[in-house]
Amino acid sequence: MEQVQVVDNLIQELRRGVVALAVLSQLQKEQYGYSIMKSLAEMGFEVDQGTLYPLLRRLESQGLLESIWRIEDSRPRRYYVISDEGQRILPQLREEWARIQTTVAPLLK
Amino acid sequence: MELIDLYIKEVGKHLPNKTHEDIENEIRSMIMDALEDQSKAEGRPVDDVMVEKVLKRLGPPGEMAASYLPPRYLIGPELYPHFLTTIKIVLAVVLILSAVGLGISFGWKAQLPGGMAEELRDAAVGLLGSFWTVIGIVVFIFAILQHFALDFKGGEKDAWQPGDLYALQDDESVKVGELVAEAIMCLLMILILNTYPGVLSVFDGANGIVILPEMTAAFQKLLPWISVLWSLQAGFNFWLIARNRWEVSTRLMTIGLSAGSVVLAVLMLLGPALIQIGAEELAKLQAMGVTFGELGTLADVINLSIRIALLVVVIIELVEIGKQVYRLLRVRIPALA
Repeated sequence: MEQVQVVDNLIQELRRGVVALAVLSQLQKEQYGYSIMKSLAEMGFEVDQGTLYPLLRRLESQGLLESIWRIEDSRPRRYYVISDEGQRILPQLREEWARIQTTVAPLLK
Repeated sequence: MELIDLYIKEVGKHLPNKTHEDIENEIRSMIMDALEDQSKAEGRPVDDVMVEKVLKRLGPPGEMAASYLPPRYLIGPELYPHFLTTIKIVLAVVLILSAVGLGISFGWKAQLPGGMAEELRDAAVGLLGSFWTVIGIVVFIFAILQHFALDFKGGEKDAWQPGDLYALQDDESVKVGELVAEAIMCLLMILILNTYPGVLSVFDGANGIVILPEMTAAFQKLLPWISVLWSLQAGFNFWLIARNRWEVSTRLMTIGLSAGSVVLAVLMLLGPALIQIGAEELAKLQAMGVTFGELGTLADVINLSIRIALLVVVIIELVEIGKQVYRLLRVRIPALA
């Protein structure tokens, strides 16, 4: 069981690094938290709500996202979209991710 | 949807006042979206079982709240080594002072009825109480230092140079633990001498009375100066911790404070007795059958202990002055480095 826990923790650490990049990449147009989660899941990237929602707030506090509350079907939802600052740094993150992939792939052969 | 309200209320208890309403609204929105999704997937309306399933997936309220908060420490990882150093120093000082107090008690108790075993028992209980008190004070002070998020990393990573390691070898680093321990001792002694001198009393367990030696007029005349000096020392220590580096000004201030300590200590060493047994205490002791000779022994033992402690203070402070002067000159005269 301990070994499983160790592996789980390592996998979580691997994923933690890319969740922000994945989320930023999906917010070119406005989405609310649950819809972001569903669209990432449909593309094979599972993120649980307990991770996603705090991440969205953190990215907003860092100036990379903007948010607004909207009422739809008499239910309030918070919509997020990438900010100008987020747009500026997203290509840098994409480049860094590509560089990591290029560097690490040969190591794993 | 009572369970949802209870869940959100519970999460909110763990969130800061400023943001809890906004986060609670967001969590509620998240839960309602999840229920809508679950209802579509199961092809039936939302019910209590479904609500429980969704809340179970979210996890306990405390964990949900924690995911929104940055790591919070009472004493963070950077401060913790200094905290341990301070605790060790302060507990050692308390142990030494208790041993001295016990020695004084034994010194005159040998001539009185009553058991030394009781004295030892009382000393052990007192020591335990003192340990917990100083641990509590040290934790409180470090929690305050942590709250004000003083930089204990020693500056930005880019500013660090490998050559700085030579400074550590030469003892140039600001020793946070020692500074905090000294500040705590200063503040405690100011409090005790000015407000609760009863802490320094001699407790006669065998006869169940407390003998409170009095400060003489000579000591009382110097007490305001001692209090000012110790206040300055404590304030300076916290300021030096905030600066986190030695400079010419901080070394000069250390020399000044040490010189002040030497002057006061010498005045007390060369002056009249600092402690006496007051009239009320004399009456108590005479009622116990203690003779004047035995009383004289008690007063002599106490005053001798104080004078020895003052001599130690003078030596320590002179050494400190010497160290600071050497380091000042070494900076100005590279040949000394």
